[in-house]
Amino acid sequence: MAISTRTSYLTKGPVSTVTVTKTLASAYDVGKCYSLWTSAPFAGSAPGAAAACTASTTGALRGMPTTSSGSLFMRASEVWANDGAFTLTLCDRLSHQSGLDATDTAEQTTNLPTAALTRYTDGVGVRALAEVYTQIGATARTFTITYTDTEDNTGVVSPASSVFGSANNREVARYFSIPLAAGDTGIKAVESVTLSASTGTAGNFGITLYYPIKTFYFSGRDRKNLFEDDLFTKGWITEVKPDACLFWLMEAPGWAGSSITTVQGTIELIEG
Amino acid sequence: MAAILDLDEYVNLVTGGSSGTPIVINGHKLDRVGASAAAASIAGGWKSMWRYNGSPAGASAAPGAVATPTNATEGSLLQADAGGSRSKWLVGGALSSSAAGTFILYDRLLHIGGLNGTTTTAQAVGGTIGRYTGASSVGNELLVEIYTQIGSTGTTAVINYTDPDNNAAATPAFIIGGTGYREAQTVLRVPLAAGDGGVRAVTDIDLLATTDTAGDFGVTVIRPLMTFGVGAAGCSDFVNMFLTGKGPVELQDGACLGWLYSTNSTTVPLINFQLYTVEK
Repeated sequence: MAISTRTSYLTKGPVSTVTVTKTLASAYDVGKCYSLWTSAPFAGSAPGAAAACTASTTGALRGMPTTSSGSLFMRASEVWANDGAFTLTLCDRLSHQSGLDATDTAEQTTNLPTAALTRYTDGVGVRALAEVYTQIGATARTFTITYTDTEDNTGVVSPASSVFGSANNREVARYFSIPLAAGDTGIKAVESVTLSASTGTAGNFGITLYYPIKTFYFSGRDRKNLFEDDLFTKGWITEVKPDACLFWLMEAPGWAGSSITTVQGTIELIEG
Repeated sequence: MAAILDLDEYVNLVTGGSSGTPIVINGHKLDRVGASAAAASIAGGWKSMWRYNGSPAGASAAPGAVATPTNATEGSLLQADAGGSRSKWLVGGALSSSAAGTFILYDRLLHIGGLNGTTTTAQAVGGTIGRYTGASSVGNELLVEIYTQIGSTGTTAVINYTDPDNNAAATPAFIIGGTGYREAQTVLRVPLAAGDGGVRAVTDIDLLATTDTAGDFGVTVIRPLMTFGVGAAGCSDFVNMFLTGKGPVELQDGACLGWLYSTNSTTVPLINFQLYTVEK
């Protein structure tokens, strides 16, 4: 349900407040991408078998309503970090699995296909990433996946990923975005993963399907606090699905002297 | 086309009322072209992400014969046209990058590939620009886009075109070939003739001398729509029509959206982006 006026947007009482606090890993590599799924408090873990994610899944940010009488929208966010110059993206974690082997060069189907989407079920805008739960190998490789696209075509082969494995590309919590085949606008399920060759260490990695919701940008070393009114700060009113499994993806600072260890704050939700 | 009248109407459209159809175009681009790494960035130079792997996918091949790209063209962001008789408006966005740089979102209006870096006679372009035509071509920009590396011998070229006033014109000579001007995915932003502010049509491109390697290059006409500046690796920029005064920008039916970038290093950036659209 839509919100009809600016006044209504500003005066609606919040239906819930989501707490976004996470303690980051003490070491991270300049400019690389990390998932905070396994960061404390209320840390998630390697999923194992394929499972759909909800607001009750261990690892989800707390405070997300599981149902709603109308559409849910973000109104005000207050997020701060103990250092700056990096990007956080709030995402809805839709479906995940793990147990993949970074030395296995055969087509891997362990704990696949991913569980059916329960939100964004048409798959449009749904993205996939590979997430490292136990460090993989020191040799740079790439991988492809097969997936079901938004037209329900199965076995679609993705283009090659970016470098997977090697120093700065193998560590726990690193994530790797997965590109789509030509003409596709999203993913409904992932069916298999194939490495170009062994990375040298099996480790443990998995596939996560997610929907990006909102980007938070800490613009400089002195920009540690973000207070945002969605409408006037971003010019957009962000919708969040009831029962969303919210988690953070981080793009690490581009300079080695950063000491980000903590992200804290809240996000206020209203109903349309 | 109908204007968004006031803030109340905007709130209503953005939250799905009145067929506002709010859509976030979520996407990313990687540092790979097909199975291979993308060519290194050129500090201070421009590169095209047209063929970069990502979501949606990059183009699997260079253009061939001259064509008018649309939102169905492989390599575009594949967004749907506005429904009914509505217009689609790009009202803002966010972009994060693994490398500092400037990123330009554009509408790709015309492209051709298969041009030869050793041919020293005029190579025809032709074709038809499908959007921002006639007098509305003010703001259209000319690019030379390298698809397969051309030669190490630097030379100059001229592009003959038609300006928005329907006059025949020629660009000043610009450098092509040689280091920084020959690599795959490199873009040369071509200056226009004095007094011109756009391109209505393109006739041909004429190299003064051979670059010594045929390679594969093309001419592209674009309409820049929105610019994002990322100050350091891991950082972001966002565009908000309320705070930054950028937008809303109309996305015409068939808009073929793509990205250019320029960095201060040789690192090829990995980017994530969100583009916010509504319809009225």
